[in-house]
Amino acid sequence: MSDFDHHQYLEDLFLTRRDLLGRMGNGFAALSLAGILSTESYGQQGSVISQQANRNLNPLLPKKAPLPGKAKRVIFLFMNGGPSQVDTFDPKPALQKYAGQAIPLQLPTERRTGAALPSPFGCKKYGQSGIEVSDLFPHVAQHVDDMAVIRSMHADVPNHEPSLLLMNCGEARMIRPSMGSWVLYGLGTENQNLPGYIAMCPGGFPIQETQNWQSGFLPGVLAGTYIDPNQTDIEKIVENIRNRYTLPEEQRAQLDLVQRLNQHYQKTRQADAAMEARVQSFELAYRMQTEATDAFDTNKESVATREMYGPGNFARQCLIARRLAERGVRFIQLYHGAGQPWDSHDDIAIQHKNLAQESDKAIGALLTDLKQRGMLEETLVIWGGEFGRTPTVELPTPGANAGKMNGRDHNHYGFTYWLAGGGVKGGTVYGATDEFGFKAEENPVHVHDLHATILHLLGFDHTKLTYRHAGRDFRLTDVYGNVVHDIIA
Amino acid sequence: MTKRVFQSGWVSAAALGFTGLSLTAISSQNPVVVPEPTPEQATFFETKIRPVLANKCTDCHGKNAQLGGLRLDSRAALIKGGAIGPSLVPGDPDASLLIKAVRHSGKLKMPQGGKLAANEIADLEAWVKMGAPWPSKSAVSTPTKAPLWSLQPVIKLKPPVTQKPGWVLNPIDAFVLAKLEAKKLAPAPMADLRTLIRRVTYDLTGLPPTYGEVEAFVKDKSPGAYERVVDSLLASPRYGERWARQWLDVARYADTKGYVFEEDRNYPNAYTYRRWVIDALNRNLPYDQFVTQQIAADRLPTVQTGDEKTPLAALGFLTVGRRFLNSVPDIMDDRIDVTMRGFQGLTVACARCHDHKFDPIPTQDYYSLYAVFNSSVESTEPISEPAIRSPWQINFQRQQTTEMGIRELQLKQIQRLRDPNVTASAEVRQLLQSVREGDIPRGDNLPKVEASFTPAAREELTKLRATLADLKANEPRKPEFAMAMSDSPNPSDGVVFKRGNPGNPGDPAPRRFLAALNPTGKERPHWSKTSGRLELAQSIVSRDNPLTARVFVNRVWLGHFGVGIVRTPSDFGRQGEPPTDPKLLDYLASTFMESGWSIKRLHRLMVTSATYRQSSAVDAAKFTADPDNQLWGRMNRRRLDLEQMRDSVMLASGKLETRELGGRSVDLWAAPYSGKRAVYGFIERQNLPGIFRTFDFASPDSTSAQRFRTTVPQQALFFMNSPFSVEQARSMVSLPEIAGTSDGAQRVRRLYQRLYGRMPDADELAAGVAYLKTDRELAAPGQAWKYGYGDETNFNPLLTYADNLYRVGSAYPDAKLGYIQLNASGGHPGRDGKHAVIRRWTAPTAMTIQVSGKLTHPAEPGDGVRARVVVRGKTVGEWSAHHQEIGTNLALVPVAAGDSVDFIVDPGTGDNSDAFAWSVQIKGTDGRMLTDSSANFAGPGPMPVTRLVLYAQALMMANEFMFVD
Repeated sequence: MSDFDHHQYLEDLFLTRRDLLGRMGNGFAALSLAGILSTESYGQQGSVISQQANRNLNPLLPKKAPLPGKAKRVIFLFMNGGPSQVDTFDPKPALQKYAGQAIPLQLPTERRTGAALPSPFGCKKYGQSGIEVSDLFPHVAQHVDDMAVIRSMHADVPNHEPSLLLMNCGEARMIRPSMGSWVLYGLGTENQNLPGYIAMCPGGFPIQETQNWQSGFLPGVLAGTYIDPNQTDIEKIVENIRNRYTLPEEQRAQLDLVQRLNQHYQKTRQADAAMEARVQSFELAYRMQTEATDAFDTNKESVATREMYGPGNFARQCLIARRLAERGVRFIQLYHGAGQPWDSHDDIAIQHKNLAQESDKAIGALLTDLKQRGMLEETLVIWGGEFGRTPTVELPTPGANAGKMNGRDHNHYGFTYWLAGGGVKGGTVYGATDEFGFKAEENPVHVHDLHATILHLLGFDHTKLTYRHAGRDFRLTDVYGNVVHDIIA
Repeated sequence: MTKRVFQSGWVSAAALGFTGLSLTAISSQNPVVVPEPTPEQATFFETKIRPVLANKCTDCHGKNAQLGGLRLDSRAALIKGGAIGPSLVPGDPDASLLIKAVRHSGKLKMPQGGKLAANEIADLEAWVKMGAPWPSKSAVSTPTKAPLWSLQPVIKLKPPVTQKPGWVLNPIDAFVLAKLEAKKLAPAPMADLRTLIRRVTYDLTGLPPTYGEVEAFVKDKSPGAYERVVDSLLASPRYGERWARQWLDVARYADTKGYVFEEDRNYPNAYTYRRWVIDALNRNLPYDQFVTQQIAADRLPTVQTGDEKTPLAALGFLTVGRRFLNSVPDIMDDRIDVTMRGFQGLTVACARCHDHKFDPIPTQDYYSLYAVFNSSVESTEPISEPAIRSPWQINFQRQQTTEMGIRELQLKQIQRLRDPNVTASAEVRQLLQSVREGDIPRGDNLPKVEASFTPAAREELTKLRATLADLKANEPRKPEFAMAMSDSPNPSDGVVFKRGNPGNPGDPAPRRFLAALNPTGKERPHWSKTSGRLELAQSIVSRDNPLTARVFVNRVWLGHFGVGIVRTPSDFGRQGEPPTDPKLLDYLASTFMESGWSIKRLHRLMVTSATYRQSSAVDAAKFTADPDNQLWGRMNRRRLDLEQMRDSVMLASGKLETRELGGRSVDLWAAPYSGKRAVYGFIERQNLPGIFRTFDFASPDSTSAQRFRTTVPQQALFFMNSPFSVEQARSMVSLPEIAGTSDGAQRVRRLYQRLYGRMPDADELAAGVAYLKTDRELAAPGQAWKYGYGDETNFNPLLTYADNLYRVGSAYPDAKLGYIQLNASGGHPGRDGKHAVIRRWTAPTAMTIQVSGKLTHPAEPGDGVRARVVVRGKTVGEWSAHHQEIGTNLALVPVAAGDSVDFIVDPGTGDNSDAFAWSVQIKGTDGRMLTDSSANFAGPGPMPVTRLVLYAQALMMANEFMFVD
């Protein structure tokens, strides 16, 4: 049996009384709701019984990771569409040499590609580690000494849909819980007044839509809560968060009445974890109304901070991400934009430049901000897409990039991810692609390995974070995954 | 669904009553040439080797299963080995695959449950080294694993004799009581009548009883009163709606396909499957037919030759699954999984890539079923009665024929025009060059090409088009359609996809049933003539199939008792839980089959038992003795699920609409709220709305056996703040029985009757009356801005809001006050300075504000407008604009808490052409944005509520509403 046996928690959702009594011993008759209700902040200080009752029924309550892991939360910056590694964090001067010529490495991708396409962007070495970063990311590059750059990522196929699902859920086709749901399942969340897992994407959904943050066979409450950071109205961010009908004092009076009714009802019944958890959930909800509103209000940030992140939706969502991380949200994922913005099949010089301009300053600011607040050590920041792009130029296809020969096709053979904070060894480059940046050659890291490493940083043995469903003990990494120890501090 | 720890199911199954089954010992079939081991060797083998093989290996490699073609229950079998070669080279551990596998030194790592202990590996090595001596007779008796309990025949046992037979109402109770007595426990007392009728009404119909029904039942002292209630509930159409939803969880019902790229994502006909399920349950379709129709309705003689096509809708069971971007292997997997877990409680889908690791299901069996489903084709079939179906079908076929005729004619003519000898304009020739052979030019190009057709062809084309238009214009009423399936014309066997990879074919997989369900061991029938779906259904509903009845009675038990006798209702394999009482399960299963698979009789048997009628109260001693109620010595208290919750709220608010049974899916959560029962809710599989997830709805991604029961604050927020919740409370208190009296006590009593089916006690009544003492309209939360007209001392609210603007009244311009209006960006003032438009912001706290803004008056005629910022009646800023845009900025204006800051625009001397735009931003001293007049523009808030509304809502929020004892 795994030494971190999560079955217990979810089993308790069904068999609550057994568990309640098991933990209570002879305190059965001592249960008193009145005592709990009189404590204003009983969410933190309530009786042992009520806390345990709640734990059994609310899978979101915080849990301790079974192993030491520095990362307490994750901010995953998902560059959907697939950023080009040779134009960002894996510069390849060899492409200049081969400009316009075929490279001696032909790999089948989604569409036909031709000769080597040198990066239109220059690159520089940054920091003490001297890691090379392209001119697209001057702000992010300031942080290389806090980053581990994995240049040998690889996935399975060169198509968006399966690759997004693989990156997010560890499985390309079948319905499986997303990484955030697994993390929430394993760790719960620190702030009960906010969703524990938030996925942001400005203006709509990425490809595969809400499946990217699905909970699969795990309880629905572990699914990511989608937020459109273009929205400024809190009600559109968290459903039913605001009472539009009556004033807080009046609602408090109503809730007091509800709790009196509950207390009265309970008198003729024995202690019941499910009922008590429900009593508490109303108190949590009452507090959530003010705290959630506050979390998403970036206007509460100083002008200096807002200017550091810069203008635009990407910046706004980075700033929201920091506010959420600060408030104990466990897993925050943000997408660059609706659809697949980084999918530069043509005009890569323009498109990638625009995309980088939208995000570079904000990501740099996020890292600076986290560091200044002492949060980076416990916050794992991840950057990358569902795959990378070919070092060779995509050939024109009717109906797609007709007449253009200035973009790159999808590439699952080799791409780059970087991680920062959360126990990552800064200033590290791990693995390498071939001299053109096409295929991971040195120390290849599969998506499953990345997942195993992320879980490790969070304090989990990825083979033991399991959930029994349909006759099997499932895990994020299926039957795969090796932790990349070399990038861990 | 989930279970705590892995338990080997057989141990308790054997202990609990399967002692009559043969516990097979490992067969010893040593070839004669092997010398008999010494007594020391024999003892070593029996104490160190045989237990390891028996406990860790022969479950999968033994009498009952030979995964990888390997048996490890005799020396000869070990030497013979399996698909990948011999397992044993006597005398040479390093060359023996068995040793390599247990050492985990190569690719093959065994056993599946985890690496053996070091001493066990060492023992096996030593044993191989000594030549693998295997005694011909067992010298020591060793425990062996029993076969999987659920695959053994259903045995109907006589109900046991009990010490207190007086409690027993039917045989269920005898089984339950016997086990309680064995633990020296007594059943719980019977629930009081109010509790009982509420429980049984919710269980059978998903709705609470009305106050009148409760009272009538409580007063009815005649014998059989309870049974009569049960019978009338089972006869109610509400029964089918309730239990259909439970089956739809299993059937992973949804109204959409899941993620699709560009095609339409809806299943517009899925609802006919749902209606079929509701109808089948209501008319008590025997379960064997219930199963058969869902797998193979198209093969029933009555459907094939008769006029009754409705059963075809049952095939939705197979076809409403996710589409996985039309990936065939995944669609097949979905169908195998829903059929096998749904009807058989077997996780066959585990065998997609390798033999099942725990249950005797080889990969080949998976691909046998794959071939069955893959030998079928989907179609959309009209199922309405012939009077509707036939005219539509005739018309539809004619349309198709006509369309085909048009196309053929066009192609023939295009072919003719391609002939260089035929005269055609250069334009046409060029056009046709860009069109592939067999294609027809599109859009504007088509008429150009058609103009070159022969006159006869053109005439014919016109005629055909007229016919088509006529057919379309006179299309008869559309029938309803089933998401049906039929056997493909060329059904074929499959092959194993090695490691699940379709590009890596392996052994053939003939269309036939599972080896695990072939107890005779005779060769399984090969369904070679058809897809095999009907044959599959017949194998499932065979009386000899040990799983079908067990799995279903367990699902029904789960529906009535909150948990199943088997607590993993869709996994009856080794990874699942064994039954709490195998004898009871078998009694129910056999009785069910004997009743002719009558589902309603099964319900009746369960809910009329004394076991079901127990109270959910429990004392500490019994709780300690049986914490998770494995002995069924009390009822489990349950919380309403999503559908029960919504239906109960709608019933209480008087909005529940039950006239139409069936029907298309409705949006449950958008106003105006549909009064249809929640079972009719539209299920968007891909982006399931948050409310479904919040309330633990069954994921429609794959078959679901039971729902989670989580308690999270989002559920509370829904009750506290959702427009649904408030609106239903409002409806409730506007019902004549409540609104018709102003007596607070009377209102409390009537709300208790409506919501809880009972009268309040004295305390409850007093609490309610006290709460209702203040019964006026309550203040609503302030909006950031208020909109009105007047001047710096007079603020009259603009009361009409329509078309995104505030006005004086419904007529515009207003006869007296003219063009007064305010919208998000600006507005129009009234006729004079006393009728300026005013946008008012109220300062929440004392602070110093900064105002920035832009005033635009676009028109040239007239004299423009004057804009002022007025704080507490004092003007702090003033600007005029005429055919221009100017900045309106103010630095550092101190305000006190509650101060109104008015942005007043008047028309100057005349209101001609005085439409203006003025958006302003107010920032705090530190530069933080407080409000933006455009972004924070909003229509008026909802209608105010009263204490009475909040009281009704409170009663819905309380635990009593949500829990069933």
